[in-house]
Amino acid sequence: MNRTRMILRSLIHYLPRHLLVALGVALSTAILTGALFIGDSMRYSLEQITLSRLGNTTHLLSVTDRYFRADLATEMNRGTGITAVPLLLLDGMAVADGGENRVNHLMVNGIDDRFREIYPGIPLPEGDQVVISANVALQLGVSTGDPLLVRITKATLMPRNTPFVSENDQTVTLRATVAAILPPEGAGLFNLRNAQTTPRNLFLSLHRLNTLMDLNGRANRILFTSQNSSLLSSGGSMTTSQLDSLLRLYLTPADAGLQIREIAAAGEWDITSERIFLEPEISTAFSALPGSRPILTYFVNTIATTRKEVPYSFAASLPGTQLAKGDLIVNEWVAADLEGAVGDSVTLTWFEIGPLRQLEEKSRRFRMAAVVPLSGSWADSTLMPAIPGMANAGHCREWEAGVPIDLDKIRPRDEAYWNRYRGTPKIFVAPELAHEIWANRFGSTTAIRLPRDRFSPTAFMTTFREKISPAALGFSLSEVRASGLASARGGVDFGQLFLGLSFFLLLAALLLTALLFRFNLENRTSQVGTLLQLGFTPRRVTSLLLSETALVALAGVAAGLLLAVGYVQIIFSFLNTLWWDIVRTPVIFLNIKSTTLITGALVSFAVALLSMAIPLRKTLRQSVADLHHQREISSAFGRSPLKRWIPWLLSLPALGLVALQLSGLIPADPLLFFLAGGALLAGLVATFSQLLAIPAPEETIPQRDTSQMNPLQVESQQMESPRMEFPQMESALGELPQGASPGMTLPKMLLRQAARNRRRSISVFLLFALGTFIVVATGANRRNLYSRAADLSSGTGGFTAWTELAVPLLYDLNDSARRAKEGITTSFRVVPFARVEGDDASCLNLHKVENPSILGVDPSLLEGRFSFVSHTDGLDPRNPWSSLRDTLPGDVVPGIADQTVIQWGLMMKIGDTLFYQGERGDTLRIKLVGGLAPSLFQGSVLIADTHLYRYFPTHSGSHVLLTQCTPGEEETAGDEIRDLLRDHGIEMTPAARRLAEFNSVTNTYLAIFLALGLLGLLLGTLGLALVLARSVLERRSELATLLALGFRRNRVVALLMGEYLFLLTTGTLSGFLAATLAVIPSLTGSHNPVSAGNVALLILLILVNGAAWIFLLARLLVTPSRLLPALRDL
Amino acid sequence: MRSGWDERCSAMEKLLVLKEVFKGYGRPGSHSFRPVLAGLNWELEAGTRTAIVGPSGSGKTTLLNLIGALDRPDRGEICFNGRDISGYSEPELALFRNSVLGFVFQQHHLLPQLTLLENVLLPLLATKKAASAVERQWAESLLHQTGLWEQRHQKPGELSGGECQRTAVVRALINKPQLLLADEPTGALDEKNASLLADLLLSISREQGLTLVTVTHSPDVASRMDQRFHLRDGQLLL
Repeated sequence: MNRTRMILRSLIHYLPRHLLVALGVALSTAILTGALFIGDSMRYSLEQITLSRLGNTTHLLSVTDRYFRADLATEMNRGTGITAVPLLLLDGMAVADGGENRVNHLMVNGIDDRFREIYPGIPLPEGDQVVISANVALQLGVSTGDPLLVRITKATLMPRNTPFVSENDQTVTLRATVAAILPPEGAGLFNLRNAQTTPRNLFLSLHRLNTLMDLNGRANRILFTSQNSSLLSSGGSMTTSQLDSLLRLYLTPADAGLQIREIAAAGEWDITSERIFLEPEISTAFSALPGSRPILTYFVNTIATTRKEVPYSFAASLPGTQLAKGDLIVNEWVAADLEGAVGDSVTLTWFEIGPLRQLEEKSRRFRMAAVVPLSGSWADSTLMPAIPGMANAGHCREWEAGVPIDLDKIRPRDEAYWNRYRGTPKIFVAPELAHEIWANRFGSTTAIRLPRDRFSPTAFMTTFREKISPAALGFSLSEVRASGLASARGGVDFGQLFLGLSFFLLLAALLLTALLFRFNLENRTSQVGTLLQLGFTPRRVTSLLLSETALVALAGVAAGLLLAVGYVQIIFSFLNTLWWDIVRTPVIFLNIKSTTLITGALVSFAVALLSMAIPLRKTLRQSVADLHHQREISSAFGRSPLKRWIPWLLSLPALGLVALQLSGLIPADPLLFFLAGGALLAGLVATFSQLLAIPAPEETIPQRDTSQMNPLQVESQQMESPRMEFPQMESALGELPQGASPGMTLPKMLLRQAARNRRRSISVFLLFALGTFIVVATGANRRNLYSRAADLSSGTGGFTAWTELAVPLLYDLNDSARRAKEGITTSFRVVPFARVEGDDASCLNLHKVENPSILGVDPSLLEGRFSFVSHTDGLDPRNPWSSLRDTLPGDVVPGIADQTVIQWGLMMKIGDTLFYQGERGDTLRIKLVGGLAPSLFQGSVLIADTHLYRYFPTHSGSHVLLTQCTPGEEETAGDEIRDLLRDHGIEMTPAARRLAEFNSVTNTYLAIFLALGLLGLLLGTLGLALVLARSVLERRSELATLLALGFRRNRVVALLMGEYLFLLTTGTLSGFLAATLAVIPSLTGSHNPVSAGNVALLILLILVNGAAWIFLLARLLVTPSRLLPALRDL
Repeated sequence: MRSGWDERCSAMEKLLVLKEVFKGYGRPGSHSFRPVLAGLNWELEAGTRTAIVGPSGSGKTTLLNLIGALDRPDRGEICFNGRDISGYSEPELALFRNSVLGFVFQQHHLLPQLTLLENVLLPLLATKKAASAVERQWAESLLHQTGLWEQRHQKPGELSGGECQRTAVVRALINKPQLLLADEPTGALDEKNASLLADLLLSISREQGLTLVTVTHSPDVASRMDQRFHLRDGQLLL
């Protein structure tokens, strides 16, 4: 006989009871470890998605609105062991089945055979064949071999809204055939953005795509991977700085769109750009060279005197002269046309072109300083930029200049000039003046001339490589694989999320385990007393019992780990169906890390052991005599003066906090309301505990008078059995026994009954109070915005629809002339947004985002709309949007985003700063100055359009529109807009529906919380049932006595039911009261109306469920056949 | 205070001395407080066999619990073999109970999951990991003496009430105590088994020089003890 044997004997003897406890442990283990497994699995799944969507790509070279030579990839590959794969990535849309089926946001990827370095085995399309991803095929309803129409955003060598570049032909159409359909894995998931959603991909031949775009061997992305597999797997020694050095080595002016040609007649080299205007850094670099002449040539509407005017001419700056700003030089052709002479006043008019092609005609008066011959350097047609739509036009009437041309003004004389001299500038102005009036966001120079004898193509290359950084041209290198994996790992922590969501379920399981353990312990109280009596120290007894318990816990944990896998699978099945909104990917892998398994097992084991050690410790605090005789003495809890104040200390501050917020003395914060509700809940639990601690009056049981009996009579007739209390008898009889305490009421009776086993009663009360609190608080926060969608302060801003375009809209749709031209009849207003692409920072993206998309807007168009929930001190609360126009100290730009995006998507707070690389390599700092209540903008950060164009000057057009329609015209206006913008790949979503989609994520989280909370309440109900059953067992003799005395069974059942309904009702109502306090913002807020119906239904369900169990069990257990035999044991 | 009482204790030759012992139940000063022992004084010689009788609720079990170090007095001192035990810490009391006392209750309180032999050896595990060969021999001897050897591998659920109660007696003797306390040892037995158990207690007490104190309602058991005390109004009267 030894201690180990003793422990094992006890374990086997009490095995059935231990199994129940082990089941409780298994449940809590499954929940806790399951949550950790879910976290690991989601993280792993996002990592796998990242690896799938990038293939073998480790680094990425990207460029904004520019197309470099695809051969750059070949050159970078040379002898370095690095594989560089060119890619031409454009936006597009596809249509099938005669236009019935459309996919509007398509990623069109031009690839060649090198793409197999990224995705080995990917089918390579040829000619007009395309390879599409499965989701595209599904949406279009096409199979291999089927035709489809693809419309692709035209890749232009110059920015779309470059002055005088026509907006026509923004897309190119391809009639394609589906060559293959990619499954949702590997290349089917190809996406360079950090997101888990399945992209819509279309692949076609790089060569074919170039041909379609009238390009020659161009690309706008290079994917890098290493031929050395060890480098790939380890993240390699390849760094962005190494790639940057390589890029500088091989980048040529041609990649920047620069070209050099010799102007023999002028004895000069002429440097120009495909982009029409030279970027400032290029201009500065070459203008600094000795002998350089930067030139700005502009298209002017008229050159006029008071008598005559010359229409539509080119004007150029004249560097190297002493021409005054108010003077200009005309050539003899103009002078003759104007019949002017030196000294005459000449007025120039021209268009100043806004970001959305808003035209503002400007004019200025000059003095004719000189008349020059139309020969030699004054007849240089090469000074005209190669504006497509003009440069190759045969006649003036063929011009497509991107601005209105009144053809009636063009005279035969003008046509003759064009035929002979093409775009030779007719007038010349001072460089400073040209810069002042014609410089724009695209540049201030259209050409740089350098002396032939002091410059060369070699010097051109050298200067380019030495003076101009790739970043200044918008080239950006990134460790896309490493950052993608970091983004996947740093995103939403589903482990913590599910731990939080299932916290009540876990608590219920632990309470159930503790309850079951306590039942076992109560059965063995006398054993504990015996061991102590035999000389075992309390520590030794604890060690023995805990060792036995530990084995039970161990078994429970082992079973729980297996259950956890099942739990996770169930959660995944829900994530793929009902709860799809929070993941939005079918790619979820179960991944169990050994560290998580061990951690989960250890924590579950420790938590389970703790939940059992606490009751054991409390039991061992009793005296040996009480334990031995199985007397439970109620603790002194609640009787100490200090502890009596606990309910007040919790409840009063809670109520005070609410009062202060409601009165406006402190700013209202939903979190503070929730904390107040939690504190009130704790206060109510403490109050209930206090009420149960009130001692019972002694005089309710009459004492027998033994003074006239002899001692032996007394000894033989009196039994030393524990005194029984029959509070039910008092109530059942309808009057109190003689000598009993007056004032016994039903509430007092119920309290005394509950006080018989305080701990059990408090456990049941707590379970239902906490469960109801969670369920009601969750149910009340479900968002339903449809009813207030029209409010200006709501998340829709009062707008009707949110529209996204694959092909940007280059003009302002509010322009009445434009509307008339397009035949628009309905009256709607549009707020256009320029967008710089970034990662989606909305709740739809599970990744950690560092650079969300930027939306640039005219802030005045949003004034008075949406609601702010937070802001910095600098934001004017009366006109918050106007603050976007400011520039903050340190050249920082203010930005506004949804508060939820700031807090949960970016993991930042108000006042923090985002960093972006601008188009010219400069750093854009956006300080978050305002946080919006959930709005349509979720996923992006808003800045003023002026700031956006400053850092992304060549950005053209609007990708996002908010429309507001006249009530009643929504459908008609929507149809008109869709028809107008069909070729832009329009996706128009009702504003309320878009908001509901975002809120679906929050609502889904709440639904999960609610579901798991309800499951916890179900466990709580099981606990209630166990407590009731146990109570009947313990009070068999008492209940049997009532039956024996003639009480009807239904009466006894009703008495028993009353006790437990009391616990159920008080617990539920306490939880409801506290929850009401917690959700006051939802009750009173305009942007988050509470669903009262849901709340009422939930309370009803809780009460009905609990009452049903109480009724069923009471009727089942309180029967004469079960109870009356107990009378024999008395 | 304690050291002074120790000196007084050591001067006493009695096995057990109780001085001005008070014990009550409920919160002192409240309506619910019930005094049980009120300034009880008592001395017990070694080697005697004593019965304590009294009406129900007189405090007999309370007195036995105090002597048996299962409870502590509200006031007063308890001295055992010259040592004051009323100030012992819990571990000291546990060791005291294990090595000096034997206790037999009305209910046998055998652990249902252990065999008869394992129940008998149980007190040894309070201070050591396993029973030694000598101790096992002693247990065997006791079991033979009480006629329980054949049933040594059976569990309490398989034994009769009398056999269980005899086993409890053997368990109480395993550590060779100086004082054996019995609280209504025959209360749950029929007349024949009660008489047999009483015989057993008395014979063991005589053979081993074991001091025996028994609380009993049985006039037969009480009459067979050397002395009888009545517990009335919180006092022990001869």
